[in-house]
Amino acid sequence: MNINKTNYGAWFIDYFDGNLSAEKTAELFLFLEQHQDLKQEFESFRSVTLEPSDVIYIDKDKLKKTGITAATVEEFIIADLENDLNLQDKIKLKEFIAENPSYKKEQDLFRLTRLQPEAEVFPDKKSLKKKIITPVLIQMRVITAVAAAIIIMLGLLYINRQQDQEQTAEKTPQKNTLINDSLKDFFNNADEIKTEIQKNNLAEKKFPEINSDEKNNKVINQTASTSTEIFIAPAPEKLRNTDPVQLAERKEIHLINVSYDATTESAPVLFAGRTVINNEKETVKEKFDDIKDLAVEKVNQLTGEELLYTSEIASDPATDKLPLKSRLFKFTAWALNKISNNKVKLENTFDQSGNIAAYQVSAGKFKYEKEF
Amino acid sequence: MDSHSDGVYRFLLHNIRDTELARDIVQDTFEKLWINVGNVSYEKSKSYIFTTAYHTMIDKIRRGKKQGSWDEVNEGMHADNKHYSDLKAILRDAVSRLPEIQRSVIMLRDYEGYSYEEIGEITGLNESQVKVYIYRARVALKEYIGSIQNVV
Repeated sequence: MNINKTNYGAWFIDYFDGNLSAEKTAELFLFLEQHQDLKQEFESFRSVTLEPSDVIYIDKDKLKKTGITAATVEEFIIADLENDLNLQDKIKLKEFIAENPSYKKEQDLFRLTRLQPEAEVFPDKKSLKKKIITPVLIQMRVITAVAAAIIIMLGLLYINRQQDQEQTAEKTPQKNTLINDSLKDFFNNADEIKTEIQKNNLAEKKFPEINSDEKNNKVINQTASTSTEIFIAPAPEKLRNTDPVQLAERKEIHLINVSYDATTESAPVLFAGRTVINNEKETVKEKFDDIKDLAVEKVNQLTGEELLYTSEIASDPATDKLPLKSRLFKFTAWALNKISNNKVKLENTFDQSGNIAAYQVSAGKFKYEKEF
Repeated sequence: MDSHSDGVYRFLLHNIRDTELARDIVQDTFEKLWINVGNVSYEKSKSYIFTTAYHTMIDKIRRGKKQGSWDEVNEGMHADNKHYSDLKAILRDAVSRLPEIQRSVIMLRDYEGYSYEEIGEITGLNESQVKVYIYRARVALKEYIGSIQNVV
């Protein structure tokens, strides 16, 4: 671009900044020769150029961190008060104040600026605790656990009772029928039955010889799967005139059908022995296992875990010997502890025969005791 | 929690000089704490309480200033005709005259023993700013105490 009347200003600046080449400089001066009126303006651009200054900053000490001066001593005193000084600077400050005692008062005044703890206390701390969410949640969990435990216990006892009733309902008419029909029949036909047994040599084959003392009382039924004491007709003299229904109800006698032949023939036999008890035990065990399995499933649902009651409690041989009710309590205690994460505890006391004697439910400060 | 409630109450009381308002802010602060208790670790609970209290206080001060009620409070705070029974009273008065931010940082530093970093977290300042405010507050307190001592 050539110099002209519209852009000469930029050429003047470039010239004084030293940005023009020799060729352009020659062109600039030729232009000035042709336009004498611009020479004065050209010269005015010269004065705009700034020369390097020899002004210096006199407070350089203030900018240095390590140097303690009158200007920086306050900063050091405060840093010392705030415990921000290293050992070297602490010594320097001490030396500086020793050399300039007038700053001692400054230092003392700064020390007074440290606020001392006051005794004001918040007067209503309880109001802050009322709104605690966590304890409320814990309380809710405890309440839920107690409720769940009670439901489980009631559920277990209800199931237990219902099963008892069902079994009683099933057994009673049959028992009565047997007693009323078979037992009476048996008493009336005892001799005939005995004759029948002897006729078929069943006594020799399957029953030991009835000795004189026991012949009216019992034989050992060796054909049964388990050893069973069997009281066989005719019944003892003292029972002869007793109503068999009463005898059965008093559990002095029981009536079952015992197969005494390879054929399907059977005859009613009076017996009292462990077979019945064993059978009852098996029924109770099955009943408890059913209830337990159901409850363990519920506990697992509530806790979201796969808990095994058997491995923790039931494997204890002492537990296995307890009556059903006691085992239910023991199981409930286990379930309750699991559901509440040990926040709610059910403690059971058993008597010598293993029956539940008392229990105590506790959850924090809450306690409930019950003795049987 | 008890010690934190005392600490934050003192911090608020010396800042705003209004018992009822200080108590309200403590209540608000703990309410917020319990609402967010799941997100606040035990170690951070004190810092959370002071941060929340500080910001609640600032909000209330600003709202109060807009409503004009704080003018009266500040007027009372700046009354000059006072009789000082001890240095504590002088210092308390000196602190009350500090700008809001200086007052807060110096109290957090001296009453609660917070580090610059912690004070920065509470007040939303960086560490250097905290240092500067503490420095200015100390100088202002020193000058006030010095001037009173000269008068007395």
